[in-house]
Amino acid sequence: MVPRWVEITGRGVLSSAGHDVTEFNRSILAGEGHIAPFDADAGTPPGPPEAIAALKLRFNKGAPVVGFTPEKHFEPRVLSGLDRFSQFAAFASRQAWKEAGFDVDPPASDRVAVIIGTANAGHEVIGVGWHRLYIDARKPMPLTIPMTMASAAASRIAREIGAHGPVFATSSACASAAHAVMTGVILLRSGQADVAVVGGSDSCFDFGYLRAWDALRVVTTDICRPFSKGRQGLTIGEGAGLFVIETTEHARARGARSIARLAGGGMTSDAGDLTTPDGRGMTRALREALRDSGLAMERIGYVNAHGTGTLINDRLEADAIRQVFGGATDRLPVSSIKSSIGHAMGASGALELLATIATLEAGVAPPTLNYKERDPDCPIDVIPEGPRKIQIEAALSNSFAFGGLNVTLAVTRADVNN
Amino acid sequence: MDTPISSVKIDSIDVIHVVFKVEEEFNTTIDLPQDSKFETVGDFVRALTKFIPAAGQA
Repeated sequence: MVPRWVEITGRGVLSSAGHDVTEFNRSILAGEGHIAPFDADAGTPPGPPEAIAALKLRFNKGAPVVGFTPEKHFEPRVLSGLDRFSQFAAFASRQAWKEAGFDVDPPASDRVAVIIGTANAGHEVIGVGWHRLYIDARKPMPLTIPMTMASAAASRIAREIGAHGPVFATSSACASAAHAVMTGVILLRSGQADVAVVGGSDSCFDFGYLRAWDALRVVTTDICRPFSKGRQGLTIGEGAGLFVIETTEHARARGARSIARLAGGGMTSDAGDLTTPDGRGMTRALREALRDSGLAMERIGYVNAHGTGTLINDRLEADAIRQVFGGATDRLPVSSIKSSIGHAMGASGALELLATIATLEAGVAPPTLNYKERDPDCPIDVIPEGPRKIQIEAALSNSFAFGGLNVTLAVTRADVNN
Repeated sequence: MDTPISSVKIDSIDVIHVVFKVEEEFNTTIDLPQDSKFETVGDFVRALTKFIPAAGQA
């Protein structure tokens, strides 16, 4: 059977690297870093000095979205019902919808799906609500529940674009967006929808969330250095990445420009440890992406890695790539843009797919920033020197999440055939 | 007060907001029946007023 590839016809983004795709792509491909110090004391809850000292964050660097003013994009009554992650997603979806041309000529509404990945959902609203309840002895805000729902962003987008097909959220920690994208592909292949808005969104910069990550001891006090010797952990980012995808038949029938083709993907589970990955699950995800897409290994010219900058993830991911590509690994460029924009959690897979598409379009692969020295445990070509010119037809994008949930997406240039 | 509810374009979320603000302002709990329906703005205001002790006595 010939694999059914689907077309990417719209993109949208909100990130520390840019508030639109043009700026995001330029910045990522230029190798600009967006990880910077932030006020680690901001939002520290009131309490006795010894408690505050104990709560103080150990790290003070991150890559938050800066300069986003939601009041410019949402009416007050709408904004009062949207957590920050839903604002991010709706903002990015408008860009994607417009690039696809659907703002002018929308598709049949009952054939449109929306699947949005999120790891955190509306946790900021929960924090505010519980603070009111437990500290101020006041009622939580009345919309706390609908604002915290993982599906809140998907519902908001569906309302804005009038999507009456399958609409829901995927939540699989740091693979949430990649699962959303792959689920969209499956819906289009199955005939459940002609068009899907897919991607991911997460907001991360509130004290409670940052402090919870600090407790897990995987956030570095240094800076994210994927695959490098001396790496100490991840740096937190946030944002949203959204795509409009549609069947080839639908895109061609309306004369839409395809930006890139989603050839398929692999989804696997370690069925193991909650926070320590098992490389075998990663390896199977990579292999399954090749099988599902029908792309021969030799056609893959670049891998956008999950590359968190943690000791174990990077070592196992490098090993998984080598397990699949064997000796060809030495000629396979790999990079992790988490070194530029941090780990955007449930949005990371979408932001990294955007970067992968930009690489295919521009013939330039982004570097892995902050790389100091080759780690013998990560024997792959991680593009440490800066942006690298590469002319390729197909690439993979990895998302390997806590809980052992793995997704590899396979994407090609728009002019490549299966 | 005789303005029809249907003409002021409020949805379920707006009703929740109004109820919450009145609860906060008057330190009360408003327990409207889930199947409450209001024809006019006045109907809605009168229903809320019943849960405000001082106003209820007036």
